Amino acid sequence: MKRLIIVFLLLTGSFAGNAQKITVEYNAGFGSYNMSGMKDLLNTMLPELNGVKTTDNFPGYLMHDMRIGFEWKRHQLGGLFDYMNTAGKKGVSDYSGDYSLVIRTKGYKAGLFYRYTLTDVLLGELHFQPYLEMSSGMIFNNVNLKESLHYNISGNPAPENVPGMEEQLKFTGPNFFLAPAIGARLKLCSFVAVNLSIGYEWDAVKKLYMDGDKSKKLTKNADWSGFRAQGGLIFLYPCTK
Amino acid sequence: MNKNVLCLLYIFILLFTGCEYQVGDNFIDVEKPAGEIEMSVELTADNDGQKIVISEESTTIKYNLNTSGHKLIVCIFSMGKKQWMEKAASGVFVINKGEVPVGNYTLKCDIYVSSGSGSIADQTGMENYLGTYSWPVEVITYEEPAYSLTYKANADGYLELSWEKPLLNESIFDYYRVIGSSLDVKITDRDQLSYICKSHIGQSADYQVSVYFKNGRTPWLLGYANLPMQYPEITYDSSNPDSLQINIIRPYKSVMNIEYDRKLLVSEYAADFIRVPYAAFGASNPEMVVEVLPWDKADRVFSANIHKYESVQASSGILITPEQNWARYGYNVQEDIMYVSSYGEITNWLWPDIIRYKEYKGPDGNNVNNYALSMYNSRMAAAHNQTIDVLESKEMQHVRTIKLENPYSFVGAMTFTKDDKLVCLVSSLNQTVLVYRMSDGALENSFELSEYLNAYNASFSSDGRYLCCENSDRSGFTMVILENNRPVSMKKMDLSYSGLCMNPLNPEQLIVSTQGKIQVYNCRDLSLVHSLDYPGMLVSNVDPKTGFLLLRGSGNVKVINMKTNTVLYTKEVSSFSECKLYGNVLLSNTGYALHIEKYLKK
Repeated sequence: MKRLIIVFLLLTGSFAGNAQKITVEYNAGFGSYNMSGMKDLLNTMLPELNGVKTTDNFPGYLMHDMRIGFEWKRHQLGGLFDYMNTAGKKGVSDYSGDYSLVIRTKGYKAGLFYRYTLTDVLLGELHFQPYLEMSSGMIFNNVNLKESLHYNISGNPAPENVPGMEEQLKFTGPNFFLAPAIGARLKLCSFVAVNLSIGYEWDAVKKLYMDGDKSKKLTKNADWSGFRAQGGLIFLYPCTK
Repeated sequence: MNKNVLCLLYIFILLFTGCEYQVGDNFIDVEKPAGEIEMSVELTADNDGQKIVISEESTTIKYNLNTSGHKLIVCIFSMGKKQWMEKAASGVFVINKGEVPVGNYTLKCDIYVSSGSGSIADQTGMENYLGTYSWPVEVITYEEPAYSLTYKANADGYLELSWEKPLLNESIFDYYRVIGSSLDVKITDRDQLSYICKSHIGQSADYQVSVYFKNGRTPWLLGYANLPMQYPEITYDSSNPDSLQINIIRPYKSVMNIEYDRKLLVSEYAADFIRVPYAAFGASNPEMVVEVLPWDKADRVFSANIHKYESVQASSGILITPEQNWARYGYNVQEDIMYVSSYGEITNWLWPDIIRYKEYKGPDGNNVNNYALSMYNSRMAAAHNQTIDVLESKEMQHVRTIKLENPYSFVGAMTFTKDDKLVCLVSSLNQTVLVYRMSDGALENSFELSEYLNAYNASFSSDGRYLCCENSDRSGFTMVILENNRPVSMKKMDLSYSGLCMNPLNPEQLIVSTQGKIQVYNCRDLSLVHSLDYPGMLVSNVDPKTGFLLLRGSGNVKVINMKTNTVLYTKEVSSFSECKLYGNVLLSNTGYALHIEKYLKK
């Protein structure tokens, strides 16, 4: 982690000397997530209850993206921080209680991005600037398995029965990612632009380890690979010399 | 600027984390179960109709649950601290007696049955119908028979064994088994709790009753009884002067064969008494054998009969020395009391009612050879080989023991004098007369007889002034005349006689039977006073109380009033028995005493 920060500072620092503007941007988007490992994990867990079915199987979901960078000429370089989450669930509920098995995965992505502006088309007073983008870095996964059984009634339980249960396991581990994208920004004024982009993310997955006990690892992993579509605002601050 | 950036970052982070994927729900609409269902439990276990009875080391209880088709979750039986969890609707559970101490308990049963609604709670066993049941249980100890076997003679006189109804399930009862010495009976009626044993007549016997089961389990011992030997109880009623009534009480209904004096008297006799005529007075006791047999012939078992051997009093009167061990007799007219000794033990009897009064055993326990009874007071002396015990009154208070100084072999005759001296004829190489003062027990005088006389057939006059001894050659007798307890003369009479005695009421008289006559002599000069004609009769003695003379003939005795020369009483006696008359009581040397006063001719 320290190494990444040092690399980031060296790169951005070298560019900073030529920087014309500092950019701060926020994008909200939608990502589709492969999550094949998590889906397998959810499928292999078969509770002995009739009526249980999978309600959620790690669907694509909203993601958040925040970037800070420097812009000079056609180039833009900076760091990014993303947040992704999705979940899978099996469960059933009725008047007497509910059962659920939820695997909730969260990915905290940190890395570098580089954009190259292909052209600058003036649309009236607005600048339309399509660009190519490449980003890479690490995803810090947080996988939470939670199984719970709750009752809403008290109907003469047999003595050996446990009145409800709730168990939770937490796993963590990093992925490496590489994400090319194509996008465009529309500068509304000299310091605000609207940004749109689409891309794809490849994850090099690694093992997940139990939180607090690294000797225990999960055979399945959290693969965030998938298409990305996002849009947001870019704030531009001119650098003063 | 920096503040704005930080604020923006903060907003982003909140936006990130607050936008979490919301998982969906899978709600199923399931119908709720009905309020109640019908349930029941059927138990199969030993019971007494009221409660379950645990008596075996390990008892298996079968159960069968009716759950109206609903799935059984669990059935929990509990008793005391012990719990059995069963998950099958029918089966068994085992109660080990070691795990449950003896006592009363409640067996509880909680049945959890699935509601069948299919709900989550139903599927996970949290939604059940609950049935609760209970039964009283008694854990009993069986190692020692729980029930006692009692026995008695029933109203018909037969032995009746009875036992308590065992605590068990009727369905497994097979039969009771009664085992005795020659008995092995099966009783299949569970409610029959007694058995009448007609073959039991009082013999020593062990009985035991067990209950057997259909399922082949170990039989239970319900009880046992050890009956001791019970001989027939024999008592006598001698109130009738002519015959003896022998009462024979048998403990159980039975009959008897009675053999009397080696002759079969009755056979299969059922009455409780039998009457036998008295033998002659003083006759020895014949043996009676009472053989007891079961009443019904079918119940008789070879060699199982009871035999009781009894020496029966054949003579009329009361037997005062039944053992006949060195029996000696002495009569004190002042106290009207009879002393009888058996070996060294003296018993006195109140006369003439013949009531046993008191016993006395001397310190050395030697045999009593002879008695001296005072005509003037209540004193009595009992001579042993080397000592003479002096006792006072019917209480037999010991006054003193006089030790004979020389090794005399025998004290032949003794009497008390009017001046309270004890005069004794003792035998050693020579016959010696010893005179003791009763005031201090000192030997006052002694002298040897100048001529050897037969001390064994000697007697003093009641005042001690005359000593009559048989001559050593049995040619007659010699009278030794004493004055102040010293010999003054001896007179010898050659006379063939069959018996003689002194008259205790008249010390001057000697009565001799000779040649069919009873002759009365004057002791001082041996002159004939008068003569009575009683052919074949011998002199026995003169009653110190009445002065009546007892004569003994062949097979009978006569009581004679010498003053009137009349026979007052005649009694057949055993030819082997010698008799005496003391205080109107006829006494045989076989130990019988018969009060004859009411029979005396007035």
